Amino acid sequence: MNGTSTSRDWITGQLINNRALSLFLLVILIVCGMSIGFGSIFFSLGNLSGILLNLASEAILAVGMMYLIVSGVIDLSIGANLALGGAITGICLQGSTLFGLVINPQPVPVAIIWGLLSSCLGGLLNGLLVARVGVSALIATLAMSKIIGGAALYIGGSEIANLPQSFCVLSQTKLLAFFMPVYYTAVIVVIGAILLARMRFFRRFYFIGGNLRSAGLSGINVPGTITVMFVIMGFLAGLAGIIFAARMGNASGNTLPNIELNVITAVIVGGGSLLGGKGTVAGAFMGVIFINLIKTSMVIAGIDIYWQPIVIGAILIGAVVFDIVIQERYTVSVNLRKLQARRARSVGHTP
Amino acid sequence: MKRPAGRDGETGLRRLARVTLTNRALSLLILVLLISALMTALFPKYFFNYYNLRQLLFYLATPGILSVGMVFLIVAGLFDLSIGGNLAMAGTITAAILLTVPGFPYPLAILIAVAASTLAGVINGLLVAYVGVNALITTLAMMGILRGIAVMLAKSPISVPAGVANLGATFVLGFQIPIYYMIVIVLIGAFLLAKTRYFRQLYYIGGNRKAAELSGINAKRVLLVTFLISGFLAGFVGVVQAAGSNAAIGIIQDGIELKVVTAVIIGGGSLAGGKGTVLGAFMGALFMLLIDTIMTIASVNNMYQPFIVGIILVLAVTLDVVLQRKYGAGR
Repeated sequence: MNGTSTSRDWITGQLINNRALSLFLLVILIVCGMSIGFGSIFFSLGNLSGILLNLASEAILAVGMMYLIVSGVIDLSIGANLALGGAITGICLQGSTLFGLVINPQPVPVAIIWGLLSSCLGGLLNGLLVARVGVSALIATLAMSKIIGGAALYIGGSEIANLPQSFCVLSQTKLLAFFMPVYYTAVIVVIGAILLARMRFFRRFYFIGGNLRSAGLSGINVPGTITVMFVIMGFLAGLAGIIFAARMGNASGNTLPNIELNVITAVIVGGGSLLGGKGTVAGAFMGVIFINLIKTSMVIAGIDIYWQPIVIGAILIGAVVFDIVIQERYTVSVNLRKLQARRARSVGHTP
Repeated sequence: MKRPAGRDGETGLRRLARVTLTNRALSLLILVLLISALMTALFPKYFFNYYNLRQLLFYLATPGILSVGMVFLIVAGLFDLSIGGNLAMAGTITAAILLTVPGFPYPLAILIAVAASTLAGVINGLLVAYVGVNALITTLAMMGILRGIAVMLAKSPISVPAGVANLGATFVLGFQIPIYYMIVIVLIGAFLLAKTRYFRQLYYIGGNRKAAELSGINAKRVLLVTFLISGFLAGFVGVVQAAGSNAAIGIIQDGIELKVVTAVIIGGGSLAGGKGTVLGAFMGALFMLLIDTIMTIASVNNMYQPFIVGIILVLAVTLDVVLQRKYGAGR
């Protein structure tokens, strides 16, 4: 262990490099500030649990998106996949005719499985386009978002209303003051974080994102891994869509507007680098919380809603500039200091 | 970079196929003409008349002009997603100034609006080229910011005074003025990108940025200028758009950035950089508009039009990859 590093250095290092931690502290700051400024309007169980409920979809998506961004790719079709998952589950629950096929109302678990399968299929198509055909992820997922979105609209109509109560309870039950989706989200985020940090298959994402060629040369099945990654993203999107449909009581084929933008922003603010190779699930989750907290705070503070995209855009740019200007420089200066210290010590030892 | 004429054993027809398939602007032109001929045969009264053609060209003006700015960036391996918000901001600034300050000279209002858009372009350029922020993030964030400003200025339509409207709605020789703007900008853009040494540098930067910089190209400055041009054109189009439709509203042309990127990709550009032409991009924009028109004529529900566009995009990029493997890099 290097003799010149101090505990103050460690704290600075953590603040700069551990994005989840810095965001967590920022979140605490904002919560305190808002509570002082707006009292129980803000700092109430109802408000806080509402915030968590609303960010459930984005948080689930952010886990998958962080995997993709760490690997250096992106997925713009998550909103469409989300809608597709919900729509397919909806028509399986209600029964319908689709392309001449009669679909009888299915039990809830079966309908959910069909919904997940369809969104996994969407993810698979994305993965094949990007990994096997070699199309850039941006264009491929952009095109697929229109295609899947069209399919979701067609299948779902613009609304499949009145989903059976046996399905809706999945999201509408309350447990200890929080609705179920909050717990689902927590489980998914925790599992997602553990997978990325501990499982060898998932750690490969960092290598692929860091240097694609080296990853391939070192024996990683890059096309296969990327395909699986997109399928996981599709799965999570479908899951989020089903949870959302259960919460709303209807499954609309409409995609949530701007959700791609929100999730990508949250992941980038949460430490994911678009160049690949950096990012953690904890960071992504804190990013989602941070962004949603800012939005809710602005609403409570009475700021005109039209300021939201402006503020979010500025935060996004700020986060990346911070990454480039401060994080990089700090790492360089610390490494330089360590090198100098090592040289100074080796001069003192005569061979 | 043209391939040497006549490879070994290549018959005339095969060579014709190769030349056509590798020159994207040419293939698109042929495709457009074929489709138009087909549509004229099927729907004679809808298609081939002066009024429809003129309207088609008029609607082509916005994506046509924007695709010129975009292709410059895509050739360099970048892109600009903020053009939609930028053009909306320009239009709404013009209208808002003229609304709030009675008697304000409208040329000055236009100048302020276009200057603001150009400034946005410069900020994009500084962040991407000098600070090194990823182009996707920068322009995505700017898109949100500029669109937000535009919507704040004009949540509901603000009508544009007559002086400005004339700039977009007057007819010259039977065609609206924006059509002429488009033709001039496309021709100038094509010339600049293909023939001037300064802008040909974009191909090198897009091909291999490091190598380009090592060979003496000031990539940062060139990219800054390119973003400036993109911002300027967006501002110009924004004012023309507001003038032509007689009103400015914040959400105008929502989603145009994706259509323009698609047009450039269809027109032969590659997101990896180093490939693309202005004429190709223009033909791409024309092709997209043609598909739009056909869908309207065929009464395809508005909801499903993006679906068709998505399929076309997938086909276009897959074709690109296949052609790349068959005929090799360098075109």
